Order: sequence, then structure tokens, then C-alpha cells
Amino acid sequence: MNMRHGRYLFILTFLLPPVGIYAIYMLSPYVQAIYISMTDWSGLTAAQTFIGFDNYVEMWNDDQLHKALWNNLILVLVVPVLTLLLGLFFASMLNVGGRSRGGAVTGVRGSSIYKVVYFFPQVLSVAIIGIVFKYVFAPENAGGILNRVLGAVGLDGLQRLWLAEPDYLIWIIVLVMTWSFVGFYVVLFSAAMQAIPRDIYEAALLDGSSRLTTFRKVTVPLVWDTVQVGWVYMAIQAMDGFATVHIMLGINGGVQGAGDVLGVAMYREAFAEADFGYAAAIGVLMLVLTMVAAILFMRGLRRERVELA
Amino acid sequence: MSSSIERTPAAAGTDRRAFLQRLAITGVALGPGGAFLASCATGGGDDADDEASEAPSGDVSDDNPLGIPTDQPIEVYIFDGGFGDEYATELHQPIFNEKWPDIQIDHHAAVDIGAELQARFVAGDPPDFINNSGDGQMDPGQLVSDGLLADLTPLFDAPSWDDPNVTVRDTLLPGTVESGTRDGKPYVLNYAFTVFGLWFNQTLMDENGWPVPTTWQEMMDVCADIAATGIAPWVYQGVTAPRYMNWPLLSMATKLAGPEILVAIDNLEPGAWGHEAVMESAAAIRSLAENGYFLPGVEGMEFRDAQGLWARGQAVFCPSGSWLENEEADAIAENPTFQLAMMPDPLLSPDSVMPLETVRATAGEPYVVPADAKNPLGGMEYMRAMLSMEGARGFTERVTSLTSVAGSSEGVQIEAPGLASAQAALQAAGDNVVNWFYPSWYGTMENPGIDQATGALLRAELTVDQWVEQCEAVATEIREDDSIVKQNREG
Amino acid sequence: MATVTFDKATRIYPGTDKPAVDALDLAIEDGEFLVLVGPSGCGKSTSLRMLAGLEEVDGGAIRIGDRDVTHMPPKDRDIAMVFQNYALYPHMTVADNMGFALKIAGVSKDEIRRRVGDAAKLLDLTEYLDRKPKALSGGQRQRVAMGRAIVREPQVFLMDEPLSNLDAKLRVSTRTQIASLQRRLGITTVYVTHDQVEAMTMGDRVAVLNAGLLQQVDSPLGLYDKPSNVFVAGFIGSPAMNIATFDVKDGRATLGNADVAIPASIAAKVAEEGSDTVVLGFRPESLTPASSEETGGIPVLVDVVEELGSDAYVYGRPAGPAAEEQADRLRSDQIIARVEPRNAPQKGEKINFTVRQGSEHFFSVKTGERLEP
Repeated sequence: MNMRHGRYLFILTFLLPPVGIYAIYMLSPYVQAIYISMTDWSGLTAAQTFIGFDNYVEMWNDDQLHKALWNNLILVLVVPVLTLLLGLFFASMLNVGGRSRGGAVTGVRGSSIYKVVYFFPQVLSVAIIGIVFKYVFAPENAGGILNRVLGAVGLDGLQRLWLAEPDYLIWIIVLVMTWSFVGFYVVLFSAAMQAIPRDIYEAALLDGSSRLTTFRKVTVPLVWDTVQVGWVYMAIQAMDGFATVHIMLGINGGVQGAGDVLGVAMYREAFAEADFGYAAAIGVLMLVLTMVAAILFMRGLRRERVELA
Repeated sequence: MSSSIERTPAAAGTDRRAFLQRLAITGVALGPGGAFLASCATGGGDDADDEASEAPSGDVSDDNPLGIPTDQPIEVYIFDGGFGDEYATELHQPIFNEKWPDIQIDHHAAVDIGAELQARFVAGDPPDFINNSGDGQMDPGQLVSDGLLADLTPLFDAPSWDDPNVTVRDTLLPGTVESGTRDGKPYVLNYAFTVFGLWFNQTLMDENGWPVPTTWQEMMDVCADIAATGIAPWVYQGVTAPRYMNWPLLSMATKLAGPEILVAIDNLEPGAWGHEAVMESAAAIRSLAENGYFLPGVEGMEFRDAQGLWARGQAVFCPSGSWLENEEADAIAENPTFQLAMMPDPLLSPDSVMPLETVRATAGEPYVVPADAKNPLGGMEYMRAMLSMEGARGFTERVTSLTSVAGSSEGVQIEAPGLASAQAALQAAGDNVVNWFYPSWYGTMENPGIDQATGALLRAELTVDQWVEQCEAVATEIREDDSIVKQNREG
Repeated sequence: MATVTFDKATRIYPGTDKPAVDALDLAIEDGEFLVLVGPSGCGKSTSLRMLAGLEEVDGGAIRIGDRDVTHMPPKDRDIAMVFQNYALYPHMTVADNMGFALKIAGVSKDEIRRRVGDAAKLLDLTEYLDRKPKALSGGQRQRVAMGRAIVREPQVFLMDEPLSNLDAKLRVSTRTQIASLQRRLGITTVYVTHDQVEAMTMGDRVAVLNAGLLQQVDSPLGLYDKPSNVFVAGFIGSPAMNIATFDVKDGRATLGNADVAIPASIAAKVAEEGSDTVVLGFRPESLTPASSEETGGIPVLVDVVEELGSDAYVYGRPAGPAAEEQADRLRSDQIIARVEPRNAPQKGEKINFTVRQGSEHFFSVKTGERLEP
């Protein structure tokens, strides 16, 4: 009896510090955020007034927030799909996509160079990427790279004032985020693909599998675990999208607020409009959505674990 | 100083460090990863109501009109932006310490004021004097309605630093105290003085013999001539801040119909934006777009790119305030022959109520004393020192900006041609100085509210009627939002 | 079903000068079971992969039947391959693994099911069709790999050391299974192994490779009885042949006191190439114990005796007066001799062995080629 008592004490001694740290640094901020979301706190005072669910009611009626939410949905659905497809495609080209005359299984020509190039965006900070892409999409006379290229190849008809068109904004963000994410996933998937025994690809080759079929029926199933992790991670990243939008489109989400996302709306409410209560409510919404997205992706993508022989 | 007066959106200019600091605060209050400080975020005490009752004070005398404690230190925070902080450490603080040698000034400079001080406000332990400016500015309206700022009435009623027979209030340019007044009380000292108008490329105008237009008709004629040479007549701040075009728009409307229309707009009166003069002015501005007088692509440009192209001679007219010369100093320096000058916005009609010389000018660059400061009177005394003739004149000399101290720039040799022309325009205006306050009272009304409507007007996506409708909707939203404390102006 | 022809096929890996496979000439008959054997690095796997289309062919040509497949992609060659590690698709069931190629080829589902079912029955895999590879034993996985090849009904089977991952006992039983299966199906098969026992027991013919060069192609017995050079002589046969360099003088080959009479034709050939030595090989079963007084024998000190029941092998080293020279001239460390199992010597005994007349193999000292009397 006494010994058992001592053992519990022993376990508790070791368990308490980590649980305590977790509670203080992880759980407490969540709980406080939820509480703040039910106040009208300006972020400047020591006191805050409890206003129940007023902030949530306001969110329900806030058109700009609906726009931001819709944009986040686009980001969550499109960016991961694009990034994963491109990431898998590039990774598979780098590792098994090449076709030498004899048909040996290798990467495409120059794949070692591509590997480095693909990783470039990953070492650039989001701030730099945002600013660079602002100039990609700028008007021609303000140094707009895209319009210049379009003009140079005779596609003047496709030139646009990209950042002045509300309808384009979120798709530009999709493009930039995808561009900046792809490199990392190429590397991630490359690592996963390198773990696949080469002879499996050779077997597929002998079975008459085309590149596309090999990709779909062999490569993707065998790296599916990694894809799943990447998907969830990216859904969370896309649910954020704050840095890219804030830097490229500004605090109001660009022309007509058409490129707004929840993260920027939260920042705006907190720091430009001194409404931490409402900002916290948006934060809680993001928390819920992110968790829902993560759970849905995990559930939806679950497959039997594959063991490489 | 850049455009801190109007608080341009952070966008590209966001300093990464400041940005991260802010994120850290967001994390504290809102999200995952919120760190140790989180426990302070909502744990707060209730000393906000203590009303600084124990603020130290000394004996009031002719020599010490505010009755400050002569041995208590004061803690000063200066925004380290376009003005730097040397004007404080090398000019204002020596002036202050000459009179009060026993008061130790605890000087700090910060790039992101909000990041450094927000938590201290929450904790009820703010410094005594803050230059609340820059991208990290804490919303002044919110600070006031949260009761966090000290009423500066004692300062403005006190005798001035230089002449005991004149109050501080009477040494200031008209509109200065008003610009910092909320709910009838002055809470903010706006120290720098900005003149708004149309900035033009003097070199190009002279070379081509284009006259400086005084009426809108002349403007359209000049624009036609300019456009014929392949140069763009106008530029504005692009995708970043189309609201800068509101300035000529509202200035011209005011000249046409008088300052009452601004009172109506500021007081959120229904129909204020539908005033005939406002609509006529909006139609004039829209005609620039209809005639293709804007720099091609400007609606998709960053404001610095647009202004840069203007400074490099690709456009002639640019709406801005007197900070423009500083802001585009690099581009201006590229071409030594480039001269810029400011002109008042042209008259829409010869029958205008106000003269051509009328300008919009306002005090900006806010300085505040927190209500919970340990030594608020010391903070106000510091302001009194700043507002001395020596302090104000030195400021103009050092940072090339006018101040709100009347006559302080007289005799100062202003090297910058743009600022000199602004100073001349301000003198020519005499009492015909106008301003509107809704952008500082209701930040979200101006941006993104009116900003988006005007942006669409400039792209000619809206008719004038639709523009009025949108502006009215924006005003209505503010008017009907009970959570926003309303301001009111008399005239 | 078809013949397979290597016509001076050469593979040089990028960055190397020495060909991994050097001008391989090899004609494999229709329905034949040909084994490629050799030490590791000899080019046997490379040759197989060249035939599969997994390695480039840098020179020469490869034909299957009348088709030149030298630069044809693997899928068009109508071949099937069994890999050393089986290369099963880990995420597919046994049935899907076996039917994958057919599915890609657009064969109807019923047909796939029928053919997979037939192959499964043949390989005793029927009850495992719905399992994933990870739920199978090594032997079962090996059979799935076989099944995947069989289902294709290709013109040629390629097998790359398919038994090397099995334990010894399973290896022996599987090798007879594979051999009999091949005979039943009658499909031309190229089989790579480093194990010469496997080669000898399975192949219709065996091709021995060394250092990228084809040494000899012949039936197992042909290789054993008439190795065409020293390498083949040493490689084929277990235990290995005893090989040593002898002096040729007066129609006799001598090494110390060992003395073997040689045919005149051999002596003439040695003289012809201007040499006075010859490489002499004799298999363990060619040595017979002699009485110690008998001359011309090699005295051997017995180190180890392997008793296998049906046979016994003596491993020893020269122990006569010329032992040092004999040991130097010997290609291996030891002399191996087969003896009567019921009458085997003891460890440490000294025995005088003589070479049975007429069972020697002669090779040129200069070229290593077989000298035929």
C-alpha cells in the first residue's frame, strides 16, 4: 500500500512539470483566447467587458469576413491539391521520371540541379517572396515582370493590371503560396521516393507501366503516408496565408478587400482597429476551422499503412 | 517622416522585426503558442480607475506653471521613423534640462511603438510621454475611449515657454488643438504641420510652357497638352492608397461650396457625400480617368512605384502632403534638374465660395501623455518645451518639416523647394485653411471604406452616383455602429 | 516463345573504361533454360538487365526471336522478370500484383482473373490471393514473383538470383520446382546466379562469365568434363578442382617429386608455345591414395576431413620434401581429394596421392586455354 503510494508520487513528480508547462503555454492561451473573444477588449486596457456571443453574431453578419472565409476555403482546397500534385510530379520526375535510351530508372537529365533550384523558395523568407511577386504582377511600367514577359512573347492581349483586379487576387495568392510551398514538398517526397526500392520501379517498367501509370499506381500509393502528413500540414498553412496576403495585398486584403483572409482580418481587427475581442473571435473561428480541416483530411486520406519490403 | 500622418498601410514597408513583435503579441492574446505573457493578458488588475490620483506634483509658480515635481524623472518614447530621434535627444531634451537640471530624462526610441508599449498600457504602467506614430501606432481613438490618455488642457492653458503672457494654445496654428481633440477634450498634441495639395513637376511645366492651372477647365486644357506629348498628366498612389485622390476631391468641393460640407461629412450626416459640390468634384476627378489622364497601369501599382515614376518625369501632377519630398528623396536626387512645387487644388467654378489659395493643412505627428503615467505633468512640461520657439524652429531646421507653432518657420531658410512652396502656399492661404477629421476619428471609414469606393471611381468602375451611394453606405455603417464612439465638430 | 541472341553486346558504365559486359556473344535456343553464372561483378546481372532493357546497350545488339530489341523499351520486349528481392508492389494484393501487367495491357477482368487463378493454382498460391506481400513468408513471396512472370505468358523469362533470399532447404526444393515449371511451360529462360551448384542443377546450358567476358557456354556436364580454360575449371565443380603449374620434361610433368606422364601431343603443344611448364588440373575424385613407397605421388598432410556419408573429402597441404615449391605452385591453399567414406584417413595423417591417369586437364600457362590432347 505504502509502496504503491510512493510510486504514484514518483510518477507525479515527473509528470507534473511537462503537463504544467503544456497547460501554461498551450492550453491557457486557448482558453484565454476563447474568453477574450467574448469581450470587447481593445487590447490596451487592463479590464475587459464580457459581452457574450456578440462578437460571434457580428462575425455572422460581417460581409468582409465572409469574403475572407471564402478565400481561406479556396486556399485550403486549391493550394494543397496544386502543391501536392506538383510536388509529387516534380519529385517523381527527379527520382524516377527519366527515360534514358535503355530505359533505366533514373531522374530526368539535370535532376540534381533542379533539386537545388526547387528548394530555393524554401530558403527565402515569405516577406521576400511576397515583395518579389508584387513585382511579378506589377504593371509593366512599374517593373511588372509577368506583363513584360507577356509583351515580349507577343501575348499583349493577356496583359493585365493583376493586382488591381479583385477577381484575380486570391488566385494570385494561390499561385504564390503554391510556388513557395512546392520546393519543400519536392524534397519531402523525394526523400520518401528514395526509400522505395528501385526494383519496384523496374518491375513496373517491365509490366508495361507508363510514366503516368507508374506515378498513379506505384509511386503515389507508396508515398501516401508522406502525402497525408504534407496535406494536413499544408491545410494548416493555407488556413493561415497571413504573411503572403499581408505583404502582397496589404492589411485590407487588396482592392475591394477581395484577397482578404481570416489571418489578415484578425490582425487588422487587433492592431488597426484595436478590437482584440473581435480579433480573438476570428482566431477562435480559425482554430476550429483548422482543426476541422486537419481531422477531415486525416480521416479522408487514411489508408492502410504500406511497408516497403 | 514619410506618410505616417495618414498611416499608410503597413504592406511592403513592414519592418520584419516589428512584424514579428506584433505577431508575438497576437500570439499572446489570441492564438496558439502564446507564451508566458499570456497569463498577464487577461489577468489584469483594476488600477485603470485610479485616475492617476497620486500623480506627483510640485508647487505651481510663474516659473513652474504646471506645478511639476522638479526632481522626478520622466520616461520618453520617441518613434524612430523618418524624423529619427536626434531632434529629441539633441534639441528638445537639452532645452528641457536647461530649465530642469534635476529631472532625469529616461529616453527610448522605438520603431514599433505599439509592440513596445501595448503590454505596458495593459499593465497600467505606461511611460510619461509617447510619440505615438508609425506603423505600430496604437489607435488614438481607442486609447481615448479606453481612458488611457491624459487630458492636455492644462498644457494648452499654461503660459508658453517663451512668453508668460501668451498661452501655449495661442502660440499654435489654427486647427492644431482641434486636430487632437476627442469628445471635446484635447488628448493629442500634433506637432508637425503638413500642407496638402497638388505636387507638380516644375521642370516639365517650365520646359513646355505649361501654365499652372487655377481652374478645373485650365487643368483639363493643360492635361490635354501634356497627354499630347506622351507624358501622363496625373498619377496617384495606385493600389496602395487611392484615397489620396480624396484630398483634391474634397478640397475642390470645399472651395466650391464652403467648409460646411466637411462638417457634415465629419459629423456623419446622412447625405453629406451626396452634396452637389462633392458630386461635381467627384465627376471632375472621374473625368481624369475617362480621358485617360492617369499614368497607365497606376491602378495596379504600389504607391512608392507610382510616386517614383512621377519623380522620374513620367507624370506631372501628384496629390500628396508635404512629406512627399522626403519620401521620394532618392528618386528626386537622381535628376538634379528636377524641381517640384506644390499648388493649391484648382477651382471647379469661378463662383467658388472660397479662394483659390485655400489649402488643406493639418497638424500631425501625434504626441501623447498616458493617463496612468507616473509623472504626467512632467510629460506635459516636455511638450511645453517642444513647443518653444527654439524647439519648433530647430525641429524645422533639423527634419525639414513645418511645425504647428505659429511663425516658427519664419526666417528659417528652407532648402527644400517643395517644402518652401508649401510654406509659401500656407502663408498665402491666411485663414483659409481647411481640414477634415473623419479619417483620424474613424480609421476604418477612410480605409478601407472610402478608399475602396474612390479606388473604383478612379478605375471608372463606378459612376459618381454609385460612388456617392457607396460612401454613404460606409458612413451609415459607422454611424449605426454603437461600439464606435462618435466625435462631433462645430464648424 | 523465342530464341535470344546477344550479338557482341557491350555495356560500359559511364565514368569507367572497362566494359562491364564485353562483346557478349550468346545464342539461346527457343525453350532453353540458360544459366548465367560467375563470381560477383562478372557482368552476369548486367547482361540480364541489358536483355530486360533496364541497362543501356553501348555496342552490339540483342535480339529476341527475329526482333532487334537493343534499344526497345522494356515493356515492348515481351519478357517477364523475377527479381532477387521479388520487387512485389507492397500496396497491392497478391492477385493485383500478378494481374498488374495484364491490367495495364487492357486485358479484360475475367481474363485476368482466369489467368491469375491458373497461375496461383500452379504455384499453390490460391489461398493467398487476397493477401498483401507483407503477410507472406519469403517462399510465398518468391512464388508470387514467379506468378507475376508466368501470368504475363512472355516470350522470355528473366530471373535474377531469385533464390538467394531463401534459406538453404527451401532453396533446394524451390530450384527443382522452378526447373520443372520451366520445362512444363517451355518458355525460354535466362537465369542468373552466382551459385555454381544452382547453375549445374538447373540449366540446360550454363554460360560462365568472368570480368565481363564470356568464358564458356556448354551443358553442365560439358563444363565439368571439358572446362575451356583455367577459370572455368576452377569455378565449376564442388569441391573445386586442384590446379598447379608443373614442369614439362621428357614427356612428363613434374612438380617436386610429383610426377605425371603426359600425352606427347600436350608436350608438343607446350613446346610449340615455347614454354616448359603447363597448368595441370585434377578434380578431387581423380586423386587416389597410394602406398608411401610408390613414386610420382604427392604426400599430403590431412587438415580436415569432410564426411558427407556418400562421399568423404580430404583437405590437406603438400607435406613431401618439395612441399614448399608445391604449395607455391598450387592455385589454391589446399589439395582436395575424394576418398572412400568408410575408409577415410584421420586428421593429421600423411597420405601419398597419385593422379589417376587420363583424368588430368591441361591448360596453357600463357593463355590459360585448355590444351586438348
